[in-house]
Amino acid sequence: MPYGYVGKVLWINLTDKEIKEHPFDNEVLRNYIGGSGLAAKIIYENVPPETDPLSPENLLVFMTGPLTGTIIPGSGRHTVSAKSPLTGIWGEANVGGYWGTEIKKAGYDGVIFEGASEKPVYLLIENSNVQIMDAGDIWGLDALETGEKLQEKHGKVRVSAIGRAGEKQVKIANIISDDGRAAGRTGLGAVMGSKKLKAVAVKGTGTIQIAEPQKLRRLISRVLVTIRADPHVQILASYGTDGIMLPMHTYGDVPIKYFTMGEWEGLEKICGEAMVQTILVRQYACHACPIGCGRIVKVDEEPYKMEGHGPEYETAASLGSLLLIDNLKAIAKMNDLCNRYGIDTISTGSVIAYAIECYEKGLLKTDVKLEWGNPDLAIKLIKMIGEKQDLGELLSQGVKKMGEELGGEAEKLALHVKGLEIPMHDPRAFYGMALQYATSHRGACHLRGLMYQIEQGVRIPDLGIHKRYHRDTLMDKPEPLIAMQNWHDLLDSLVLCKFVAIPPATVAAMYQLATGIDLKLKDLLKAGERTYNLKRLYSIKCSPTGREDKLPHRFMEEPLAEGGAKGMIPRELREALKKYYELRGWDEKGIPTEEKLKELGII
Amino acid sequence: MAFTEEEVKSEVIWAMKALYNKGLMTGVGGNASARLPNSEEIWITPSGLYKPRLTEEDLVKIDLEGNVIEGVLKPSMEWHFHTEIYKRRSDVNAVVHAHSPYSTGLAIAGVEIRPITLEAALMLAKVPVVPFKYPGTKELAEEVGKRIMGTRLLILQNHGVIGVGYEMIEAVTAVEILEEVSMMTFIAKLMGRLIEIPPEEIEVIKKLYRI
Repeated sequence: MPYGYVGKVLWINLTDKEIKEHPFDNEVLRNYIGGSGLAAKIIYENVPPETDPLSPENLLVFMTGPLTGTIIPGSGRHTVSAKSPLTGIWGEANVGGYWGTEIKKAGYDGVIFEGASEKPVYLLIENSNVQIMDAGDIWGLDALETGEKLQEKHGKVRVSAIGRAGEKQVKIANIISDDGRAAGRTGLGAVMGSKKLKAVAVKGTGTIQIAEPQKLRRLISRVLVTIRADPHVQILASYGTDGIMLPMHTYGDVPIKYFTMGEWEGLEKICGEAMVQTILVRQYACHACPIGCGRIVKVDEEPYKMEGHGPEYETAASLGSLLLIDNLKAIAKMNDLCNRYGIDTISTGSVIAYAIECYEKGLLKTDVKLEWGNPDLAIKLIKMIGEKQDLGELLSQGVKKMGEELGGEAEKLALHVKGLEIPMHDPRAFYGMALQYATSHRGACHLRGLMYQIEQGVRIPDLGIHKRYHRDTLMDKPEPLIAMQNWHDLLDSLVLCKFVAIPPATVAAMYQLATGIDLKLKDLLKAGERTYNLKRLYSIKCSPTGREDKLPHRFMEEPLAEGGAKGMIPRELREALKKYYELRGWDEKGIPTEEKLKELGII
Repeated sequence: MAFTEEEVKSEVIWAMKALYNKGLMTGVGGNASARLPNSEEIWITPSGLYKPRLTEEDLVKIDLEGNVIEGVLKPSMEWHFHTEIYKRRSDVNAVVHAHSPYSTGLAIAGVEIRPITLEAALMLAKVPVVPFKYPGTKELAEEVGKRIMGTRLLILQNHGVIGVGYEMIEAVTAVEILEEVSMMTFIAKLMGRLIEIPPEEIEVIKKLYRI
């Protein structure tokens, strides 16, 4: 077995209560690397596309990569994958903290769950001692309480858990690790809930074997200064991810009032700088992170009293500007509630904003008075979603299903791509983001491409991105976007954080020193392309939705009247898609050709 | 980067020699400190000793309240601002203080550092200037603390400069680059013109750093 990896995963059948160890073939590891790439291979082979995502036949795959838990900066992450109950296609989410490191120290690269338990259970991994435990006394607790309870019971375990929303199979439910880090998107908490799996608690005391530990150490000690030279690092370290809110607003990128306004003075009150001045207690850094963009915050006053992980940019925007809420303390409370219920903050803010807009337009009838800028209403709705009660039952399904139920004009107003709610970057402000959202395999994804950075002039020579790209052009974007998508899919296989911007050639060197595997950057990028195509193929096989590469009406027809993106519309999306498909080696319908799949070794 | 306490100490010694050899401080001028990531204790240079000849045994270990934990010498009189920075920035594990002549001199003349090279734009951004407060005082530390977010460099008016980093190389490099760019600025100003990089070429830096 190569270094870096442990070489085996746990395969748990929750129906039969069977615990097995599953080894990996070296060739598979060379081709699919780890993380969500390896998960895609497993799911593609074991979960038929017609599978009901909430049935026992779906797999839930927690996976680390060959670099997870090493001393490499940004290696404290793991991925969770399954067929998504929210979108019905490929689903994955990525999360930081310490859980991934811990499971590798326990002696496993990941854990795969199949089947479903009749009664609530949790998995306890204490090195090689693995047990399926009765979760009767923790079922019903929130995700953070669950972590605390399991730590009381088993000592210093790292916990990934669902809250009450996951238990109730809310379609926007997530999985919470390490007291408040979220594997947020695509509703994977519902898959966990459908398996009656409350948590995975891990304690590991082993070490991760590295091929060339001294050389790797020396390399890291010399490149850190370059990594930290990225201006994003200073901003993220000092102000968290929410530190980008004001700079991004100058482009009209930050969504306001469900993407209908281009200016709003409230941003000054909910940005990263405001957080430092008001509620920040300290920074939080994941394993081996030289940035520490996490925020630990505290609010002393009721009704927003809380202490714990603070809102990231996506959350400050989705629960703040998207709803016209400018009270940072209330947003911190809403974020905490979302973490406790275990629901994705991006989707949660989106369903609430969508409901308010529909209500205002008379397209949604309810006894609850829905209005913008009302944090107490938002808190009430979060609770309803988490409990799947009253109006929350409708909202808990995500905007696509809501639109289908409400029908007519309402359907057109639902902002999503392939059923996944739009993240907090306006695709009218950066046209590359429009193409990125449209072509992402899991639906609207802000993390594969980061085109808003490329369109601000970031160059990545190792990926062939040398020139200055502008934000208001589309036809020149397919090439850099494909390079970025493949690169980011690779990072999700390795698994490394995208905010710790290590130059790709240096990542390749680190990979070789960590694993001892002689794969060069071009081979690794090929692996990124392979997993991107495999996930795409799986999504297409799951549903026609898988190739619905389009943006909602609002982004194509309704320009903003003011702000940094005033009047902008990514009109050439259809033409750019054609070019994108061609460069990808996909046919005119966006389906990977047999030739491409053979070239990548997928078939 | 330091992975052990011994490495942390040797980085502090290295920083003093590097800054002295570059002409960025005199033998009795600057000071430095470092810690292991996530630690609440730092190793800092002692007060009153000739800095280029320090050895590991001269260093003093203190907590973030200034209590001496290890070492026989008195910690640097500037321990207040060192600890203030560590309290506010958990991503910072190294702090250096030098008396860089050009950087300090430009501030004395009231000249602002502008993005005249890519390196300057990336590493320096807009370097905040801390108003004069008497060296070694809590007042100076408070002023430093107020301005340390979002930057890896501060200029202390009529005093010197502070560089910070995740590790010592970054802190020292920041101070070196500041001095290099200050010299370029000085030369350009002396010749009568100062041409900046076209803003469009460094858009992301300008936006993030608001320069």
